Amino acid sequence: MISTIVPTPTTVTLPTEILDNIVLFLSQHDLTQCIRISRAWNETLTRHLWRTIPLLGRTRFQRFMLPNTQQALYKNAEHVREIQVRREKLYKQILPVRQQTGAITSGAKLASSDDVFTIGPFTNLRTLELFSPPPTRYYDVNFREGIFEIVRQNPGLRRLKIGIEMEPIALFILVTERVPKLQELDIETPWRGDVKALLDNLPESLRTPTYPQSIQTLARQR
Amino acid sequence: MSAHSQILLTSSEGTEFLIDRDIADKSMLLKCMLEDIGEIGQAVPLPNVSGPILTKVIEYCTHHRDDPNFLSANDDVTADIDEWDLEYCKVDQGTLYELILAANYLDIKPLMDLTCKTVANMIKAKSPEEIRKTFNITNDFTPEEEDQVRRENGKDWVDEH
Repeated sequence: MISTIVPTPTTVTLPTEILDNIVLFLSQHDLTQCIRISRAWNETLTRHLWRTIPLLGRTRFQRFMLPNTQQALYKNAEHVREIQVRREKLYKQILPVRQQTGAITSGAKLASSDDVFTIGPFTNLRTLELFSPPPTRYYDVNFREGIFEIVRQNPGLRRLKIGIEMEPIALFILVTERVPKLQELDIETPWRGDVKALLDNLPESLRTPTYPQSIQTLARQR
Repeated sequence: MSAHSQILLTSSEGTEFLIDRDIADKSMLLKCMLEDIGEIGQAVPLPNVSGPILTKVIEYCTHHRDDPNFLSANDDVTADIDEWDLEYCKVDQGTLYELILAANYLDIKPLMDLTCKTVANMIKAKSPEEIRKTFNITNDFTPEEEDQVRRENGKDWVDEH
């Protein structure tokens, strides 16, 4: 038999530049497998794995708080772009609450799954979602402080979706002072009319560039 | 008038391909170029694309010639691949990778999405060892590094539960 010059397909390797384009079609679980393949895959795909952090339930949150995961998170802090919290029960573990001593607790370096996780500082965090339908009925004045603390720690925030009641004045401060680059605010508030009036009557100087381009307030029947 | 015009392309080996203008327009690279400089009556050199790959690319663009949803064809990440496209992607891995690179270079988004989706489907729901086997990749981690990567993701906190 005459041997041919056809190369065997098994010697072909996937060019790593292609990997970046394939990510879009992979789940986060697939990504956790992919970063274990080789150094090249790890280097290319790690940032995609940490891009979005979905904290959708208690079990996942507990795993997320394990020391190894937290260590990996802080190693990859620059890659974090979006954090989604979609369980009301997680709010008090996410929003730093002022203790009686006046100190703000920080969960960043803590290990136990019952600890508080402080969001930030993530220099590239753009989107934060604290939204668990149906909207929370539970109002804690500390949550407002917690949200202020989060936006202080993450000055890159552009989009906020918050399902926690905030008084008009707190919202006003948030929008005009605390989130300088805010572009989108989607917020649950029982004071919809008041907030709208307040925001509509912002002085011209505050509207640009600090006034967000789109504000949606969700009405709630009380 | 331009609807009937034809464009001459040259592959990396110098093979010439005469294709209709509307086929060429599926490639954003060619479309923009033809709009910018007009049809100059000379062959457009494509030094990054080989003849066999260009043939495959033209086959795709010709099949989807009158597809009204061409640009949004494979937008849906979770949608199934249609039958013709599925057959089209039954090629060896080398060809598939070259198709991705060509689709990227020529800026044909639906072909790019289709071929990337095909590769992604070869990864999905597989263990690291199975993925290595599929793509003929050597594990070049030291045992210590491998252990660390596994530990950091060992509990797989992104798992659905």
